[in-house]
Amino acid sequence: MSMPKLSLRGVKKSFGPLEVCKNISIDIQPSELICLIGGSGSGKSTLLRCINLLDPIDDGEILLDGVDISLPGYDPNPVRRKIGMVFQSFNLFPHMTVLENIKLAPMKVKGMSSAEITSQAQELLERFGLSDKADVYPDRLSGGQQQRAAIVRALAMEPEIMLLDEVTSALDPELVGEVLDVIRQLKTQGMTLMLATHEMSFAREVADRVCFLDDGKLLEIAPPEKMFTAPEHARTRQFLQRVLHRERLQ
Amino acid sequence: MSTDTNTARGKSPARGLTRRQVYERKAKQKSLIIAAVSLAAVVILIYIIVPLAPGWEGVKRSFFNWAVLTKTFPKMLSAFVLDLQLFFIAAPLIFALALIIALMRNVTSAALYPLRLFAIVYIDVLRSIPVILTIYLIGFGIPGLGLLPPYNSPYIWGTVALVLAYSAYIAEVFRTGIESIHESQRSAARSLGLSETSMMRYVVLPQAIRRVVPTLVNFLVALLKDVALLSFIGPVELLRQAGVYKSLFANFTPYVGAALIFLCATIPAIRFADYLMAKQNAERSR
Amino acid sequence: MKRTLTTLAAILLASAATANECSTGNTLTADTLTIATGNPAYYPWVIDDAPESGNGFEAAVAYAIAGKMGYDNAHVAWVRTSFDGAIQPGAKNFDFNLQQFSILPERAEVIDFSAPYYTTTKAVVVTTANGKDMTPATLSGMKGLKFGAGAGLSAATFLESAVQPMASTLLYDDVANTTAALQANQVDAVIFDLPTALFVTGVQMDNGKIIGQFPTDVNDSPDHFGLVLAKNSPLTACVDAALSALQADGTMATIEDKWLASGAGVPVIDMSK
Repeated sequence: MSMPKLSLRGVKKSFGPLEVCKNISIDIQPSELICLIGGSGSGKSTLLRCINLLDPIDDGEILLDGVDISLPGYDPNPVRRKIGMVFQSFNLFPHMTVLENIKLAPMKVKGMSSAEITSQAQELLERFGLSDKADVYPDRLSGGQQQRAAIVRALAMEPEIMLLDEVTSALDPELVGEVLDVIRQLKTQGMTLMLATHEMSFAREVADRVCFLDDGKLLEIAPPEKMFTAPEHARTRQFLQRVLHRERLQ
Repeated sequence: MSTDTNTARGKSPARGLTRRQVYERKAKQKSLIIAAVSLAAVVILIYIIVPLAPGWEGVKRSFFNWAVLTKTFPKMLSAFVLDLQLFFIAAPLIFALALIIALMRNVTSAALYPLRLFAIVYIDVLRSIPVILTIYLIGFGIPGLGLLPPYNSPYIWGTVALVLAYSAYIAEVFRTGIESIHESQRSAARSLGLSETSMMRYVVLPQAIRRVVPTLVNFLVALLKDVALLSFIGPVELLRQAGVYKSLFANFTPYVGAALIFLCATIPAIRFADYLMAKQNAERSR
Repeated sequence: MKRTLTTLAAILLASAATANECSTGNTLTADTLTIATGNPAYYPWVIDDAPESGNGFEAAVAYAIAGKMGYDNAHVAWVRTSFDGAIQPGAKNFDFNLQQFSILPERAEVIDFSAPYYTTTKAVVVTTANGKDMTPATLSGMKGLKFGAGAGLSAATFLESAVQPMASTLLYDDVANTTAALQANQVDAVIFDLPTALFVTGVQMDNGKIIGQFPTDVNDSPDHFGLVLAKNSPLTACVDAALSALQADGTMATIEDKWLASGAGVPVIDMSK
């Protein structure tokens, strides 16, 4: 097997007395799609934020292409150019149009010219069906369009890994599909992806491996067929029973 | 709210109003009539009753003296130009300094703690002292240290005093604005690789400042009135000019004239602030 | 009982002093003359801000007038007003008010003035430290000065018409602030009435100097100080009668000699150069 794109080794993170990530280790291969599942408060979001260096970890290592990026004092900005991230909500900057949102970071971080990035951004918008929204302000977009625009914005930085933190959780059910389509598209293009999600059937469909987090621990990691049919841990079974039952009702 | 306007636009292509629209239109007409009648009643009462007061003739002579007003008004108007000049010099300086102080107040790194401490002390001290005292202390005190003309001018130090006092207030306004920006906006900016400076400049401040514009306009109105406080350390602006005329004519009409001038200058600004506030509320509820 | 005795005495006295008859029934409080001064009242017009002592020029003048009108010291009450309080419409809380009010025709439209009880010139004060000390003082020299003055005084209007200085005049609320501005070099020179100028340079400032007084024949100079009374007050005539009696019998001159420093040595500004 080649060198993992991203490796977490014994990652620990606490907020005060509250331990949120307890000794988490995973290797993620290039172009792999990892789904993080687990109840709320299980540590999915924190883990993603730690990888993006938004929250510093207390102990352990995070290796990007074999380089430890979690060393205290390591400059986070070059890392974030390689690792894009999209959040549950309030991603877009409301005082800028969609195009301006996309152009900001490439211009200010990578020093690209406005003309260069504009044509690139328009290409991306086209690819994700948002070309008519370039000059629209975020408050004129539907929730699904906002999340797609946020993903496009992250892609404009040409990241090697994308972290998606429950990007469909705040959406009305009928808008979830269009965002999931975008994620499928990313996978097809070979992007390395880590996503925290509540969409179990989607995870089952697209994930290469699924991680079940429970109370800050990585309890189980398995290919989706195994995770969803024959999980090893009782806690995993309980969780899946609960959410799958709910999903069937919907 | 938006659904109301939609139905209003959508369902009345030709004359045909919905039942609700007819009802609301009638209710609105009725309340307009009531408002007009009650306003008229109040005005008439004031117009009739006040002159019946035994001292009305004296008050009229001392406060609403047409002859005194016409004699003093032109020169008071030109004295107001000084107020405006001082205002337009002070206002940009205040905003610039306030922004710097607010940013200092907001620094989180331990190495820069002295900056933060300075900003906290600055804001606390200057907000606690009445503006007039700051003007006295700085306007008379600093030139008294032995500065030579023209650097001891009361115009300079008076303006400095106003800038210090107001920047402390406005720094707090900016800080409130900065803190009102949702944490995920900062996360989003950081995750794009933006530096702290770029995040502040391109993401947080533009939103924060937009949010506090109505408050800022209100402070500008207050500033325009407080420029008059500089008259205590010498400059003959509108309030002082009115005072001189009051003394000369032993009559308060010049003060009424000064009030009129201030009204004409500030009312549009106040209305504008209200308009901005209403617009923002509408945007937020959308 | 005591009251009736006093009234009786007053009636008896009235036959001797006609002025008392004049004011009877017209004072704010029966048998008492209520006199107003500034808050605070300044030296040399009132010493130690205590007009009741009768010390200071205006305090002494007030008691002398009261005496001529038939009110002994026990029948004089003092109140304090600002300038604004003196001119505001409505009932006054004093019978007369004295705090260096200049008699001006514009003011006379809303308040009554007595005849002048003191006449003074305006004097120019500089500090010896600021290099504006000029001898002899001339009009052209004055034009180049940046002036400060009290806002309540008629100095601003006077400067504008008689001197027309090149720099705009700065105005202050009181003598203390005007002096502070001079000492901070924010103005080159300040204008006071001569007695105040003598006091400020003699007592308050170490390096203050009067470089000259304006001649008496220029515009509104000199200043005539008058007592202020309510418009059309019946007392105005009584006060005027008392004042002219005091002037005739030499009392006013005596009071002036006692309380006001002599301005005899102060040079007059040459308005022709």
